[in-house]
This record gives sequence, C-alpha cells and structure tokens, in this order.
Amino acid sequence: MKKTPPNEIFQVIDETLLSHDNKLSISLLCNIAGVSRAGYYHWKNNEEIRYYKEIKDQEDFNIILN
Amino acid sequence: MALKLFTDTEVEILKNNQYTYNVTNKSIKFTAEFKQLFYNKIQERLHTPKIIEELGYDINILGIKRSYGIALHIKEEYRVNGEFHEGRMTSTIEQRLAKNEISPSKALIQMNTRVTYLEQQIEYLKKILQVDS
Repeated sequence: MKKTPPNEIFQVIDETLLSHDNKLSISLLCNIAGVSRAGYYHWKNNEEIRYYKEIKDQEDFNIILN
Repeated sequence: MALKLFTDTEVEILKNNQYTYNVTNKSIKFTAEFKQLFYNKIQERLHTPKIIEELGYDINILGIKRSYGIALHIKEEYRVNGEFHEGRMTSTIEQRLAKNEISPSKALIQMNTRVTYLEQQIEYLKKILQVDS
C-alpha cells in the first residue's frame, strides 16, 4: 500500500486547527493521524521556505525551457 | 497555626480551663460552649482581648494575634454552620457534597462543549481517512 505523504496530513491538521471554534489540540490531531507533533511544527515553520523554493524551481524550469 | 508556641507549663495552665477542648504546643481548640459565649460577647461589642480575659484565659499566653484569629474563626463558623461544634470546625458530608455539585446551566454548557468537541473529532477523522485512502 502506498503511504500517504505527510504533507497532506499536515495540511488537514492545519485546516482543522484554523477552523472556527476549534476545540481539538495539536497533540490529539497528530496522534490520531499517526504523525509526530515535531513533524507538524517543522512543516509549519518551513511553509515560507517551501513557497520560495517552489518559485525558484519554476524560474529554473523556465530558464531551461528557453 | 499561630507563630506563638505554648511552653509545657502554659499548656498545663490552658488545660485547666473548662472551655479548653484540646491543647497542644502548637494549637488550642475550644468547646462549643466557649464559642457560643464568645459569639454572644462579640454581639455585645466587647473587645476581643477583654472577652478572652473574661472567659478565664490569659491574653499573654494566647497572644494578641491568636485571640483575634480565634474571634475570626468563631464568626466564620457561625456564618457557615449557624451553630458551634466542639473543637475544630469541620464541614458536614452534605456541605462537602454540595461543593462538588454543579448548577444545571453550568452542566448544559459543559455538555454543549463536549458535543462540539466530539463533532469536531468525527469531522477530523473523516478528513484523515479520506486523505489516507
């Protein structure tokens, strides 16, 4: 069976946490999903870096194409 | 506990008073009769040290601060129980149970919160299962 990329799980956790009147804790959400809390925070803190990396990749891709 | 400790001779002197329920080097407990008399005299607006002297205690042995503490405790016991008990003030079983009871409105809020919590948990589980499959 193919393992779900943790990225998507973290995405779901983030959505749940940001939803209105959320009463669930981060540790509970991570526990249910079977991912570590540290992993979630790591993913959360690297959001910006991931975004810039994506842009840079796109630029490099364009350079190669031209 | 008061800061002033009783010496062994002082303990003997205090023991001889008819209103003393129990006395150790660190604490003194009074009979219900003493408390009732004390409370009556408070109502007559007598000064606390004077009441203590009238009831046969030496204010120098008890200490000024402790006497005012005694007055406070007696007033508190009357406020809570409406009557006096021998020795230490202890709450009855009914009072202890009443402390743990919560009002219906509070219970409703608690239940509502619990329902929301469970709903959110189910919602989250659905989402996770969708992603996982």
